[in-house]
Amino acid sequence: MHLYARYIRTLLLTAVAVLFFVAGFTLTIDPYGYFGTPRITGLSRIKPASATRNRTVKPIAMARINPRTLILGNSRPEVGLDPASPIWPKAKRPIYNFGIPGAGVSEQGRYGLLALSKQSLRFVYWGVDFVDFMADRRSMKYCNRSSATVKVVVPKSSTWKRLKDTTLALWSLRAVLDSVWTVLSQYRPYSANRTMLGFNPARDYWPTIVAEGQGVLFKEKNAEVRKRLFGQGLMLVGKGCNWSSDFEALNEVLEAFKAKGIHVVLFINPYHVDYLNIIREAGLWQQFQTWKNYLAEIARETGSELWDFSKLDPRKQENVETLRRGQALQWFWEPAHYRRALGRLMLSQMLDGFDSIDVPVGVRLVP
Amino acid sequence: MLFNSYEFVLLFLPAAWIGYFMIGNRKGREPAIAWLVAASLFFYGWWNPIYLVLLVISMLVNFLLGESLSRSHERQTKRRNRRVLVLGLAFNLGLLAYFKYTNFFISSVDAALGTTFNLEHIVLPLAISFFTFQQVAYLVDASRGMTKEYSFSHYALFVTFFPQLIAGPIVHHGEMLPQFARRGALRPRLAHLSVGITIFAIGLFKKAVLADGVAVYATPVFDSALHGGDPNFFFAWSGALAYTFQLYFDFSGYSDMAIGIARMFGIRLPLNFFSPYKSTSIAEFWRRWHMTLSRFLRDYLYISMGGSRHGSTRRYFNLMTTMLLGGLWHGAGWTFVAWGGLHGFYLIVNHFWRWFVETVVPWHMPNNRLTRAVAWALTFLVVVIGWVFFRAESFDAALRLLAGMFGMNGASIPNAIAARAGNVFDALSYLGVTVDYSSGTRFLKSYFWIGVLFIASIALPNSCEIMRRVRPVLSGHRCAPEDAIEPLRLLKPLLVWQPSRIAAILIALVAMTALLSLSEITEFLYFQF
Repeated sequence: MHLYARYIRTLLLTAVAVLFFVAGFTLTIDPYGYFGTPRITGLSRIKPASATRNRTVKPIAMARINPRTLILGNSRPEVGLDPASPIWPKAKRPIYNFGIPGAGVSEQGRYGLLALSKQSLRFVYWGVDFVDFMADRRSMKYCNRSSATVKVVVPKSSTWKRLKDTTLALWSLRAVLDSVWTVLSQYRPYSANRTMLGFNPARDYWPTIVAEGQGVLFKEKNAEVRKRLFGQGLMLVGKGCNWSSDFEALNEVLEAFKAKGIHVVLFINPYHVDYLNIIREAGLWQQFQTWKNYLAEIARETGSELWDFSKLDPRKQENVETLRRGQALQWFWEPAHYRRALGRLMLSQMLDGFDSIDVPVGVRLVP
Repeated sequence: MLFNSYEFVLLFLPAAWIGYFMIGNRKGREPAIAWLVAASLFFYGWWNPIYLVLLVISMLVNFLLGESLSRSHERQTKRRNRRVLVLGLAFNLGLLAYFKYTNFFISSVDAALGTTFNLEHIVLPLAISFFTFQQVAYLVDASRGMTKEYSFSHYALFVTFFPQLIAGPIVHHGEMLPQFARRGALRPRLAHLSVGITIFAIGLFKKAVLADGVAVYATPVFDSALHGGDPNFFFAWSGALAYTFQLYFDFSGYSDMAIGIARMFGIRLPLNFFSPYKSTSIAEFWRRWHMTLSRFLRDYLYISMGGSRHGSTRRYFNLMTTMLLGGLWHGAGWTFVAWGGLHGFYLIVNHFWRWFVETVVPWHMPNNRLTRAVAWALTFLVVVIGWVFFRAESFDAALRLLAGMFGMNGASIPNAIAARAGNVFDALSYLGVTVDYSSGTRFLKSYFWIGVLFIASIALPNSCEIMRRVRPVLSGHRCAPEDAIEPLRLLKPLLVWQPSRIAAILIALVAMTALLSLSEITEFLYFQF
């Protein structure tokens, strides 16, 4: 019997020790950036796992930064606009990149409204995407602007959810494995990462570029975009309609920003020529132009600026076919995602007064 | 409530255990049994309290019928005994047929006759297949005078005892109830607790870490086939093998947990799994897979139909019928019937082959490592093919996946791997292997998981073998050496549990790894049957 008592005692003590060790380890490494533990070079500076918990971690990280300027949108501005770029004037710092991969217009808006509770917020740069406004609208709910009733609401933060998230970030096998992966990734040249300011440096494109060539990234993305844009019933607004839930969501969030005196700069993300060709081949070019008109109308009404970076110029026509393995285009990762270099030129134009560009990368549609 | 949930492990189980022994010590056996029944009903009702109504009605009716059968057996009134038994079988099978098979029957009639009969969807009550079979076995045993029960609370405990209520092992009344009546059964024993926790931890690890870990590589492949995709050779095999191991670790993990929890209460349950993927014949596979169901089908169906007593043709017919019904028991769908039929066919071939080599072949068949390896490989292959029907949601999806597995949709590997494979890919491309643009990481991870689980299920001792010093189950599994492969036989003596400090530390690590992985809770596959 003594043996069994010792067995159970050792088992319980080990279990408690494991709990403490796991909590200490995950808290120190903080693989998702959830706790805001200082990033230690060689141990936890690069956070490859944070990309998998964007929706949970970014609101917390944003609150921690308490930004004066916010970058909103999907993965494109997240990859393209660097909040740490020296081009940002001091008056607009700190900046937080709240780009969320895969987020639609309403969701992007919700994150914007969440940041609205921060007293320091003064400027918003919101990158919008044509595809986010396209949907199968054969059965429309919101059709006419006069009857639109969309409400973009920020879900209430519950203590239970926060407790659950915190527990999982501290005590889950996933968090332990991600912590180990984080430590190992410090020594890998191309680990994925999210910076403290929410930026995605897109380092994880490089292994493919080096081993397979950038052409593969273009091939995959073109196939994905083609599949999406050739989808059935894809429309900006339904037949006989003049409005959509996406436009209403955008309008509503911009109104909220306006009411708080926040200056909003809307911008249409740049596309590589491959992307624009697919829009044209899918027969959506006219709708693409109509979309811009809608945006301009909304921007004017809500007192926002609107920039269009989708106009073709030589930067968007680089040829990926001529590249060898290990070589990359200067301005694009693949047809949908532009590089930080192009983002910097966009910022130069939008911030007005920094750098001079011989060939402008975009035009201001609404001042 | 799921075994693999925090509320079960941290709240329900400790409360049920403490309550049982505390009440047992203070108030005696009957209140303790009543407590366990109440706890088990709470456990069952956690999913949906409405299910409790059916369970309680089923128990009440079967208890009364069982009582009547026992009395008629004692009084030797055979005719009455037979009538009551027929009534009991009709009641149980009628309930099962209504709740589990009505929708299937109507949709099959619609498909065959082009009719459009429509019925409100009937919700399948949880565990109905298990508690129905358990009670059918009880009625048959009672009619034969092999068991009797005149206390409803004892009968209710036999049916609802929460470790085995939802997905087995299917126990006999005579196996379990006498254990609760043993002297000293109401005193908590550290030995039982230690053994129970250990087996439970192994089971939880199998389910939460291994089965759920590999599941993500099975689902997309079957989904792709369901939605009209034509999976290529490597993709199709990754899905079929991932499911093969997911199902095994899921269900054997569940059985281990059930055995471990029961043991914490001082109760030994029957063995349900014994390394089935080590089998060198399909007959041996069925002696090791879901053993309590196989026992039920053998004792109450196959033997009742005559078994092998009326010649080989009748025997093959009985085998096929048993396996078809076994397939249908698993799910109301034609893919399950096909799976059962396939295994019926395998068993017939198995018996025919045995007869052939024993009576027709003039020389003695060699029994060495090579022949065992060939027999094992063939058995494993046909089992995997069977699982494709078992998992696929339609016939079409199963056939698409099988076409992929037999190379009819070509073979390709992700470009990311081909680009890094150098000359190896050049050699593969001579064999017709091409590239695709799917994820290389996913491809590698899926085959890594499959490799690890393959070794674990083929080479490592099972939980019953690891715990053999403390008699973990009611009765072990006996087999001849040629019935299974043992690639790492030398490991067996090293991996035998004893209550040492090292074992405690290792089991704590296993348990904590499993507990920490419960953040994304998934249901057990066998709950749907």
